Amino acid sequence: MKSLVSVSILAFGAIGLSACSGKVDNAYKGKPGVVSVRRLTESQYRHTIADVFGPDMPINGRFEPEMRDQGLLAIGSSRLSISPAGFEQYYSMASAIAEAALRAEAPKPPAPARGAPGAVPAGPAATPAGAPPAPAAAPARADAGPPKPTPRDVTMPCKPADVAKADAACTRTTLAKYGRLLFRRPLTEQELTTRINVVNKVADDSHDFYAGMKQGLASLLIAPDFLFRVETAEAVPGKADEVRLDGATKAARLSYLFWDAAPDEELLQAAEKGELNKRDGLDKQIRRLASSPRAEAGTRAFFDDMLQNDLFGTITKDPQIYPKFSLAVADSAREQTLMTLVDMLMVKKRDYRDIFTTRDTFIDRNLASIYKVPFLGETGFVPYTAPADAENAGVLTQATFLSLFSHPGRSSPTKRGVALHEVYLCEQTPLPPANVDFSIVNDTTNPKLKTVRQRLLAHATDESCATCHNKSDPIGLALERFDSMGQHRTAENGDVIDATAVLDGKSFDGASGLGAALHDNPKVPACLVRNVYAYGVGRATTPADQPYLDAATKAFADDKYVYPNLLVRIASSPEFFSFDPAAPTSGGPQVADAADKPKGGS
Amino acid sequence: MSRTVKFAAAATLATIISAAPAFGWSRSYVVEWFEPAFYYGAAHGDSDPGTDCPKGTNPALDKRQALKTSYRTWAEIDKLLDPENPQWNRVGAIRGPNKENVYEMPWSVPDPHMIEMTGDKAYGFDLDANPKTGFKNINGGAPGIDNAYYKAAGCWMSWRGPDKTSHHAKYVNDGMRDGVFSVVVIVSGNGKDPLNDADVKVAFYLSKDKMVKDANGTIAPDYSFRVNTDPRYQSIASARTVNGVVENAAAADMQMHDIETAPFFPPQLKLLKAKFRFDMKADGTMTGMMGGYRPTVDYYTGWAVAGTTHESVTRIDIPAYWYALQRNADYKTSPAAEKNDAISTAYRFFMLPAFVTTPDGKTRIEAAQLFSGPVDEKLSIRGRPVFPGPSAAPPATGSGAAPARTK
Repeated sequence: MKSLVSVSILAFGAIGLSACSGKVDNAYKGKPGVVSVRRLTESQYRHTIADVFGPDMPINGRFEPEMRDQGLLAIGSSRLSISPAGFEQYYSMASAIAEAALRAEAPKPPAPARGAPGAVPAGPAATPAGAPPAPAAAPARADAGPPKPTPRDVTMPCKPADVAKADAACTRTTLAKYGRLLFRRPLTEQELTTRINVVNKVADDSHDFYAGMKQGLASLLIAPDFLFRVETAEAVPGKADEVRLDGATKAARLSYLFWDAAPDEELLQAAEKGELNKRDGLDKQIRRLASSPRAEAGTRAFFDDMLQNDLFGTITKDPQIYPKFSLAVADSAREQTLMTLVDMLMVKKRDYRDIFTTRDTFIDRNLASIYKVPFLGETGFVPYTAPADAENAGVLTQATFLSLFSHPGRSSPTKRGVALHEVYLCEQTPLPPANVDFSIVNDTTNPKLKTVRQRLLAHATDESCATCHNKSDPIGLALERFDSMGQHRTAENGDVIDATAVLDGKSFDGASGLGAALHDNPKVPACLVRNVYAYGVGRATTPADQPYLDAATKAFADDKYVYPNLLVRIASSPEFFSFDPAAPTSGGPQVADAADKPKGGS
Repeated sequence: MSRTVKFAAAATLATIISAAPAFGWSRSYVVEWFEPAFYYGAAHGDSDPGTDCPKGTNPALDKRQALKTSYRTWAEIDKLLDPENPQWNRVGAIRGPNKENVYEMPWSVPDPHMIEMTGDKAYGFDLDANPKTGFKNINGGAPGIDNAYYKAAGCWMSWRGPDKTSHHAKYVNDGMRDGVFSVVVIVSGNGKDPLNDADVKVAFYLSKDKMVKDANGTIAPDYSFRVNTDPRYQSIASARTVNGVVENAAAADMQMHDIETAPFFPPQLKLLKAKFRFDMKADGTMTGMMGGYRPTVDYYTGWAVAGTTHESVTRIDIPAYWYALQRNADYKTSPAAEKNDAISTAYRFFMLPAFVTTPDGKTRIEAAQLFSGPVDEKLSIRGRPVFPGPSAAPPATGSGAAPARTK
């Protein structure tokens, strides 16, 4: 199955790539230097640590809040810094990771984790990047298998001559290896020398080589060049006044788009050899990234961002009204939607627009209870197809969207309508004025206004409110047969719910009608193209991008809206390596004064 | 779902179901609470004097008096009960006239006389079809309610109190609700109207899937449960529905998992000649009762195995409990039995809507039916009691009769 999928991806990838011009990137008038700084998301941090040090590394800290801009956290990430409190958290995590990576005891079986953003999928990530082969096994005892290598065995590319002393050569080898993986580029000699000096001093002072090495690894893990994706422009050879993104930056854009992780060894090498500046070399890497099973992780990360699933960390439900809602249900809902999207778009390569109409999804025992259907499995998630007569069809009828965009104690057609416009149509709705009188809408006990439709109509008699509500509410009202946590219902306060609505002149009834209307709405695929592109380049799109986006949207339509091919086309386009030449800063990220200085040394 | 589809779905279960039964409608439930159906005759609290127990609940055991035998002095007893070095758990059982273990041989001491329920009405069923025996019907129906266990133990603090409030009911139901085991029920019928159907089946099963508590700490409805095929915890009976009330037409032997969760209690609740009446409510829940005759040894064993603890915390005198069971037993499990060895009883049930699936979880079960499967000792939520119980029949009279307790 997997190999068939891979072959299929390769085939589609070839179609996508063949349509591209020979041009690899855009060059701009300007000077070399930093053009953009994007803070790693929690998901990217977790994936990177798992890739570099293995999947069992402890990451127990609180990440700094992210910021959504123009609908995406990926755009907001270029405007984020790290607070002193946040830096303490990163330092704490760095120390714990370094400690665990150099532990001399055999690892314990990993505890299954679920629901954490960026949970590491099984597959290639299970082996640390560039890990040396395990040391020769000692003779096995009769009652046990060969001893497992310790984390230290796996992490260290060399052994110190004397574990009680500094070993500059081994330190250099180790820090160069991990610095390159974490910084996504080779370390400069200054970056390396500074750290070697600290490691040597700590090792000599403590008579423990590995105590020094822990400080060295931790210093890499708290460095701005790791915590931020520093995008850099280099001079175009032969054109002194023109710049383009350097190979390391290109590699990072590609790997974080496709895998939500740092470049692997092959991609780093391609970048260092300049292959990403050539059509063939770039296409080869794009094909490899797109056909990897790890592309599912990248898709999960993108949709996690686009669907605003981070809001699960902030929503609450009134336990008296929605007693079934819990953190476990929230985790399940998020997973359901991501599994549905990955299965439809990456595995089955269905038309993107079908996400609004599909009856195929996955449920676990918690969600089966929410949807009031039997859970036909033993544990975890199982495939589920909603009956043809059920209103549950498409991602808008899943608990994720319905619960994220509702009030704690009742549904909200307005919130749902605003979110639907923003997430799926890329249409922003202005914030309401500060002095809006919500009393009519909030009074759910008014016997004359039993349904939210009636209350909203009464509220919208105020002209200043009507402008926005007339746009947002209708499509939200189509979802009214689902309550604040996604449970189906047919009445509100005893009155039958009217779920008729109009979108762009099309009338329909209920969630199924809304799904069909969105499926055929041309704004929907155009919005996805815009979001994928903005997610990849890490900036809001501008009118100057519109011709490219229009062309990309047309190609998406011509290709029957196959999502993996869209990724490949965008990554293959010169526009994917665009940047704002007016933005360069020379200094790079500023985190905290001590951030780039290893602790433990003087 | 059409009947054809239901037949097709049921057919896939052929490997574990002897015959896929037909059905026209189905409802399934998880038991979120069950307990002995005792009537609380006081207006307030859970232990006040009332019409059922004018003197209130049984007093705590006087351990000092209980330990007094010919071979212990008061000084020795006081030393055994010294709060700074209590020896009750070690010696509490040894208080027969010849150092018998009174939990194993309760007849070795005279009846300490448990305070019994003295009211004239009870919950339950007329199990012997004789309206002249038993209690008045608390619900105003026909008299002759047979619930002798209520008479024997109705004033015992473990079970006394309004619905869902007695000390022991809360203790054991908490265990079940916290995941020790689950009991699921399927009601299915062949008629068109679930509320009025003359051809209904009701089945009880054990499930290894845990109930899930909601944000308020109550059990959440609509969860799915896989049945366990251990025959000890399954039973089925024919029934009918009248205005949504499910009743069995003829008494049937029923067995299911008992509510007791501790390892020393027999895990099976077996009710002989059982009758039940459950109300399928419009909100999807079902409540009601099931009564029948239960072997007295099943009621006795678990309490006796951990006798010193139970005598300390539940205000029971184990030999008194044994005598009360013997005195009130009103049924013979075998015609050959010399005396009554089972006691009439009733349980009340509170059930929530749930889905029931096959052991592998792959198929929903909608028709009430029995599953074939081995006795699953590993599943045994608890081991079998080490204590054999009072297996040897006590001499009823004569030289073996218990001597008077030493004063």
